[in-house]
Amino acid sequence: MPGGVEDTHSVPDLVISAVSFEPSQTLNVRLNSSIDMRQDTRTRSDRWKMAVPDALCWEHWGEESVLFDRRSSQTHLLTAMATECLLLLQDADLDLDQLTEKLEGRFEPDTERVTRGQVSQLLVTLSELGLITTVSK
Amino acid sequence: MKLNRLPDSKLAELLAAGEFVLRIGPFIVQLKADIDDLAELLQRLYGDCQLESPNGLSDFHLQLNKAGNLRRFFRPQARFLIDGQSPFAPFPLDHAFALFEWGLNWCVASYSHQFLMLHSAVVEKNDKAVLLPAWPGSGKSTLCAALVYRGWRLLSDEFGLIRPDSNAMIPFPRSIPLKNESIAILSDFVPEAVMGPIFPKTRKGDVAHLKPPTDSVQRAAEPATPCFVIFPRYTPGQQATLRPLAKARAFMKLASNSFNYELLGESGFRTVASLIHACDTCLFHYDDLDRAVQTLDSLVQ
Repeated sequence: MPGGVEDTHSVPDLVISAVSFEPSQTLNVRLNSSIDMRQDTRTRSDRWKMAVPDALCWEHWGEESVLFDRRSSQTHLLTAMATECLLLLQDADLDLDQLTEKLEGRFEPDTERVTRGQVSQLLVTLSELGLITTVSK
Repeated sequence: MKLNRLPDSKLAELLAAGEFVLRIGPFIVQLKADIDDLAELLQRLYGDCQLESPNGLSDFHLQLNKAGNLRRFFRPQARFLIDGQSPFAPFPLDHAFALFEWGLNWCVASYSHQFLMLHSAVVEKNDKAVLLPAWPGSGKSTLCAALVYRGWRLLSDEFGLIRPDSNAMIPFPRSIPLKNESIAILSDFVPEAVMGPIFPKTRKGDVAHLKPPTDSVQRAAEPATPCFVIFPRYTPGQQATLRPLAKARAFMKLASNSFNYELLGESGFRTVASLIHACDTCLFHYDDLDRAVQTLDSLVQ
């Protein structure tokens, strides 16, 4: 069984998972759940935007989404917060503080508190997957 | 003409000449073979399939031959070839039929990219098709075999075939390979079912092939509309339980059970999305076949 997609309990909260085939046609499910927090220093002052909106195909079911990236042929499972984050960055260029504030508005008080560190980690993950990029100054 | 109407001597003649051509679901398979026991097993397990003209086009040109090396004197082997090439190692000669089944699976999975191919059983009742995608060891084949001998139509035990950007499951009814304990379980569950011999100590343990129901083979040209995607798992000690699975999660599980999802790119994505939109999606744990069949029956009433 490929790791991580057995059921709802095995996919961590902020996770985006990407699927891609190995040459052996065995599916590799990559879970980006443990990002090193030291990487987040660059997220503090940058403004972010969605990388190439036209390259992405979306399907939404409830709060979660599935996203296909035409450039990489990778498919990503997006949690509610990752979905919201990407949609916000599709509409406007935002920095970490602005994004945190908007996500707080969307998710609190229904869910646990949205922390700045959590959003910073999410930005790093989305950036590593090529879904968002910083805006040139 | 159905294969089971063909006299044994004529079948052996067609196999030897490479003029044995069989329609199996959407595929035309041409086979040349020089292995003695193969004809009887083809008659027994593919008897309801239609023979086709050797002069037409075939999807797969296969050969099953006795290996010609020194081993033939002390440990004879069978070789599988497609278009004259042998893609994998030989099997023991007395496992030739299992090699044919495995080889045909390999050919379909490797070349049939006109379909999105899901690693899934597909069964249908009351015009509602149920996909049962699962990884080996989850009890998919055992459950599938139980269902098709309790009134469900078999579309496939192994390949959920769907044309990209369509929403109809294409039947590919073939024998169902049962493994290890499942062989005895199914023999008890369906004593009247026709089964091939047990091939011991294959890579997957002991394997025996269950003949597909005649009605399912006769209806092999009728696609079915998918209504449920159910991920089965044999779980000892657990009552038959269906649990809803969030659709985005079901999407990922279904895509990860495909042979060629990524190869089809955006078309694969859209086809899986269309399936998930059209179907209810569940996890299914069971440990008793009677209860499992009852539970799935109640879904399609």
